[in-house]
Amino acid sequence: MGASEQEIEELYRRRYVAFRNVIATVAGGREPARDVVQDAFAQAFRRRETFRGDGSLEAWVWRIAFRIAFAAAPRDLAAIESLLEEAFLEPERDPDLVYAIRSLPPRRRLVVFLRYFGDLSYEEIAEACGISEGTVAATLAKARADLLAAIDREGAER
Amino acid sequence: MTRHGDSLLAERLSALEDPRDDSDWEDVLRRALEQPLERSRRFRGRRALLIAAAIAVLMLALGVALAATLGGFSGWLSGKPGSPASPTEQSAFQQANARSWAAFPTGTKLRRLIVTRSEGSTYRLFGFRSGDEICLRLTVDGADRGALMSCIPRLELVKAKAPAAVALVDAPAGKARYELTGRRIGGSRQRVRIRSGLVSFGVTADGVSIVELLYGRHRGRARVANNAFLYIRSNHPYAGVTIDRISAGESGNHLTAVPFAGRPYEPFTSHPSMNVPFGPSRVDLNPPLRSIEWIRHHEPRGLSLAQAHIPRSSLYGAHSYGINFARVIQPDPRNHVRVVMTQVGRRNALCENWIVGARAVTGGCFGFENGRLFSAGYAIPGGEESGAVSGIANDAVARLDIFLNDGERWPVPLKDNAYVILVPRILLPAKLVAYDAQNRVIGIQTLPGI
Repeated sequence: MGASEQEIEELYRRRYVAFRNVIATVAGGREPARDVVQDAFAQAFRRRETFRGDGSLEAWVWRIAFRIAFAAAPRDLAAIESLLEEAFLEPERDPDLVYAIRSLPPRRRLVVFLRYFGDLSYEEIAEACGISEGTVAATLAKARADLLAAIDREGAER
Repeated sequence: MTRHGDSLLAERLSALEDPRDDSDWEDVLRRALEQPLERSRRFRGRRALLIAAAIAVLMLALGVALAATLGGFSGWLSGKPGSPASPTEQSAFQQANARSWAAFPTGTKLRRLIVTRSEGSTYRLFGFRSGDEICLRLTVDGADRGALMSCIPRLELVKAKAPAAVALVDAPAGKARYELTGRRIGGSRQRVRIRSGLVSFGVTADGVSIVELLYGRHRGRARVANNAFLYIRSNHPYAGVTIDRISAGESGNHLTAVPFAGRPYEPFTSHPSMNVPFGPSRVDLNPPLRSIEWIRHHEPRGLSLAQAHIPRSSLYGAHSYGINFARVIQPDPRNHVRVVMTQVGRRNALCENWIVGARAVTGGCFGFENGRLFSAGYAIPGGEESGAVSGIANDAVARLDIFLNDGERWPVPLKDNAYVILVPRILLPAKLVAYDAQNRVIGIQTLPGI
């Protein structure tokens, strides 16, 4: 099967910002995320012949990016949290929502980022993360409920 | 949830996105084409090794400087922090210890470290040293009645790089009780609150007077006394809001971050980190197939199940296959963890059970006939910061070392083919390396991070 050079380049040009924004949440900021995404696409380009085509090309590149990001990211949750706080989510933009996002368990939070920053479908999130679509749906439902409640609470307090 | 709610959320979240496009396809091509795959891998491996070694040297220097400033952990390594427990407190411990399947030596003396009250309950933190373990025991009287125990390996404190070592984080004190709270929104919105207090405790270096903990928007200070700290979250904390930062130091000085693993965590379990930059990466020799001769001949080594007060029915394989032979081995007689080695079923499969808590048993069965040298598992009762790396090795293995992710190498107690060592989760992933009698590397197994 394999993927063509053009397909990978097209994916990169179309989706680079989404990749960088999502990866920034696990790599600790925009600059390290940029490095991870460049490396991920470089690796995908080199290994394009090995793409088996049993899922989408985008999900395959997401998996490569996650592998690189998780190997490079601090494993300590506290460190990830501090990087998130300092380097990516700017609380002054939307303090209540940022706080609500930070209160989500890590896995739930990442699925939210993939859905809303990465604009991935349930199927693509499942493929990228190696979890079932049902788990994606349940995780997103819980996360949405938490985040909407935070927004709702903020509205009620005003 | 309504479609309106979803689009509102999408709109608010999109405002947080960084729209800047700094893409550079030429850079991707350079990265892809300038370095062939294999060379790139080797280069990265070497670079990772160099970086890791440099970090280890830096951390060691920093740790030494820090230890010198704060006096190290001499209170725990060579002293006796706190005061002797009262006869009643000592007697309660001895009774609980006698009931345990993994008891400490009978002469173990408790030291009282911290006593405090919170929401109608009295919390008493005790400590003691036993072999290569520094153990803390928390008892709670009142509404949250119960007891918790957690141990830290002594070696963690010898070359400690932080001014405190965490034993347990966010554990429910006594019996955990939960309640649903909050408003219901669209029939799906309620939060879980923990009605029992959540406790975190550990040991501190000499001179430490402040231990600060952060969780959610809150910042709290632990009780610090007698080279220990204890923090109680007793205001009905929400489940999911966990402690995410701990720092410690002297009053008036900058606080230093204390590493801890927290609850077992992995964003996507399909990608556990296996990168251990230290230790041997290849074996010197593939030894011939070996078994464990003393088990084959049913030699009565260690203790019988009856002598160790362990019911046969609690062991792995007891119900499905039947146990033909079982012995309880204590690889390090000064430590409390035991390994039960059994032969089960008609084919006499070799099984192991690790006993790491008062009643905690886990295990599995495997065979050496396919060339395996040793089994390896990791048990964390109650989400403790340190867990027992344990297993059994065949007769070809003369000794085992564990290479931790900070560059330290610890010898692993091995006796009668059973081994066990307490390892902090922050030092995983790690490599378990087996040597033969001629000191040649004959087996390597990587233990993933948890």
